Amino acid sequence: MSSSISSSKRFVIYLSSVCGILFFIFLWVMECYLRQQHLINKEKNDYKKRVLNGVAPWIALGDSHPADALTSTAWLDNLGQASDNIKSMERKLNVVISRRAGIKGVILQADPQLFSYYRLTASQSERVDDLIKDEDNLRLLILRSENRPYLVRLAWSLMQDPVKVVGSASANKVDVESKEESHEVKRKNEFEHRSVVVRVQLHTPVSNFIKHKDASTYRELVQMLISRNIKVCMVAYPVSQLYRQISAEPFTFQATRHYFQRLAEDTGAIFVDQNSALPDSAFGNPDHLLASEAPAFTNTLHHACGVGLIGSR
Amino acid sequence: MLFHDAVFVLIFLPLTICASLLLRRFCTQNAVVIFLAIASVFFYGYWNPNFVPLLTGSIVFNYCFGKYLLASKDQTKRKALLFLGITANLGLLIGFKYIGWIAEIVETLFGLSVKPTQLELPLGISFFTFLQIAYLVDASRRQVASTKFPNYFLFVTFFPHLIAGPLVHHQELIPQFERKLGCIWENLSVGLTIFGIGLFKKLILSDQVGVWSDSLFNSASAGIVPSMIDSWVGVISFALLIYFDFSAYSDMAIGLSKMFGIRLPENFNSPYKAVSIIDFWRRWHMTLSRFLRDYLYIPLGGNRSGFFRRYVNLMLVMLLAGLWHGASWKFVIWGGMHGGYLLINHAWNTMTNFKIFKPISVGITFIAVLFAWVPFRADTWQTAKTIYLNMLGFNGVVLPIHYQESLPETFTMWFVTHGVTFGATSVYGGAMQLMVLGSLLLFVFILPNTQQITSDFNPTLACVAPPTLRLFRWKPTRLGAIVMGVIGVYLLLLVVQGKSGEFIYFQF
Repeated sequence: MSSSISSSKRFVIYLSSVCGILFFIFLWVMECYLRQQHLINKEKNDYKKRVLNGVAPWIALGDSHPADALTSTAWLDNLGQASDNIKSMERKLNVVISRRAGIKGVILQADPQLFSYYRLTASQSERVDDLIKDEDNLRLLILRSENRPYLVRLAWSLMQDPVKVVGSASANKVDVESKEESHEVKRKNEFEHRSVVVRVQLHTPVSNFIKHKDASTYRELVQMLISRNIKVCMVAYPVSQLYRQISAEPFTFQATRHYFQRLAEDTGAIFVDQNSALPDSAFGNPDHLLASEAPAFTNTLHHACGVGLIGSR
Repeated sequence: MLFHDAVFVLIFLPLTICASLLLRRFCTQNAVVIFLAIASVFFYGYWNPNFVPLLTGSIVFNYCFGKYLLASKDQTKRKALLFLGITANLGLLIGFKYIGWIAEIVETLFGLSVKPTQLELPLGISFFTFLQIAYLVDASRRQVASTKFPNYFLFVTFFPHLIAGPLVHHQELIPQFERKLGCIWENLSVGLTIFGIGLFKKLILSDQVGVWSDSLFNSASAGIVPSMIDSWVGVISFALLIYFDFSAYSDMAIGLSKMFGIRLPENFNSPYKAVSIIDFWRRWHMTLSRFLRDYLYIPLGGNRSGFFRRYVNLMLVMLLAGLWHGASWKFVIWGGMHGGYLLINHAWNTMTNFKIFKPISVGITFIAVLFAWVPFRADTWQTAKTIYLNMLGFNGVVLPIHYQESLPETFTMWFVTHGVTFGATSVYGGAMQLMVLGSLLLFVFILPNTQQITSDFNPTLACVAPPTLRLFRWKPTRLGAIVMGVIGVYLLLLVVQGKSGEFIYFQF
């Protein structure tokens, strides 16, 4: 055997062994971790249940603003999900309407970031597909659509913190405690001027948003609900003072607010502007409420949207 | 099945390699050829089995027609038969790929409302049609050796090149099927390395810039006006995307083929290092350029019929090269722009001997290619126009609003007084993005390509790329295998994750 052949043979054997063994270990560790998480974290399943089998007469749609600011109660199923764009809101609404009779009202988010560049261009078709899909028969959790797109990110995070796999229950407890302790520090940091500016930049609506298809989709959504005698409550969610101050400058923030107000006037929807309703102490970061504020804010909307007037359950 | 699909990488490829090695050991070469042909048809049919009869029908027709052409002794008859054969092949291509577009032209020109059924495009139809046309032409010229049907079948369907090239020539591939090829271990080590490089380019390099490029072109298409900086970032990202995507595909095809002991022709030779457009077309999609030269440009008269005719021929070839990529005016515009560039380049060479400093000529060529990519990627002319206007600064300059906060006030004031505004940017993501783009451009302009890196093992037929420094040349070492194994795990996770898009050249 010539030396070239033997080195090639060695190369193939080493390569396939290293690659094969490491790959198998990674998959196995990730599967174990996901199984632990699957048992602990029921949040996703609860969300899915609310969308597919919820019974509340009102639903709330939108991104992390409603997701954080509202709690699901007997009268409301909060279907807000981080980063949802108008297309996702429309698809979720269609799913709910097709499966649930007797919806009395919908709380629609009416915040400028719905027309920001990253929302308008985000492709989120899989979000709703994943909700509808029945994957309980897929035995390996790593292959489920809710996990599969994030395998590399999961592998990285497990490599950075292997404790996660070794003892997830105790680690979770420590996590919660350390999270609470560091909460104040984090909040201070996140209120730093620069980080708020960057956030506002991300949320800045595009200049010609009115011509974008999402603007007409939003309008059609409101009109469709009104035509079905479903009450529509368009809500501008609260943001911190600094966020308001910085977002006052780009003209498109103001333009989108006018757009929502005009739309509510034209269609007979209720427009509830809570943009400056709460003090900075109510916020976990510049534009998201603390979880502890959610019940009170949900109650505020209960009154502002006139939920009681139509006899909720 | 795509080369970076989990099913392909984790199931189809290992099984096919193992089975072909076993057949090679225990059966005849003919059995290996038949097995690879069946595996290739399975590979093709996995995507859409409905097109398998079309593919096999086309192969049977061309094989029989080629035999008939070879047997025919009358030259006039051969010419008539060749015309018939080419018409049948082009008819198939037009029927599937161009009929809708032709109907649109007829409607625009004559006001006739013709609405033909737009059929789904069979994957790789342009490739398998063109390589069979070449076979028929050569058969009519009696430049084809008589071959067995399984060898011809595998020549057309061999899965590494079936869907997106390289556009192989029968004289390159069929003789290789007729003999036992090389050392298994060397084939596997070199093939796996080249395939791994291709997978890296596709899953890591190409997909990153793909996000930025899509951001620009999709949003401009949806009516969102990009800023000047967005336009440049997006267009450069697309140039890098198509470079890495096509280069990745070519590497993967060459690597896969090498694993089975078959060498494919080189298809991609660092095209952005080109010092002129003529040079660019010697480096970009080399097998398509070769096909167009041998089967279109030269039969049209090439440069033998005078100055004017040569330019007409060149322009015609480039327009058709554009059209080959798809039934759309945007590809015709792209081909026309490259045709125009080539005419200018030839005219320059005729008029002067003046040599431009190499980095400048590379830069000029790259910018010319960049401008041509705009209509190639944009879905409408309106989108391309919006991007052009913004690239040239006609719609003003917009910087991200957080720059207003982070830049010193003097700079901010200077920008404002010079008409710069601060607002939302769609693609531009800050200094880190520019650093990534810069690094990728350095990668493209400076580093040796895959053929140069693996040149010690001659993975391709007739390597065109000049040899590179010893430091960059690949050797099958233990350390190399371990490093590649670790990177391979990361790539395999990305493969299982399965978020990557298909290769751009699959649609052609």
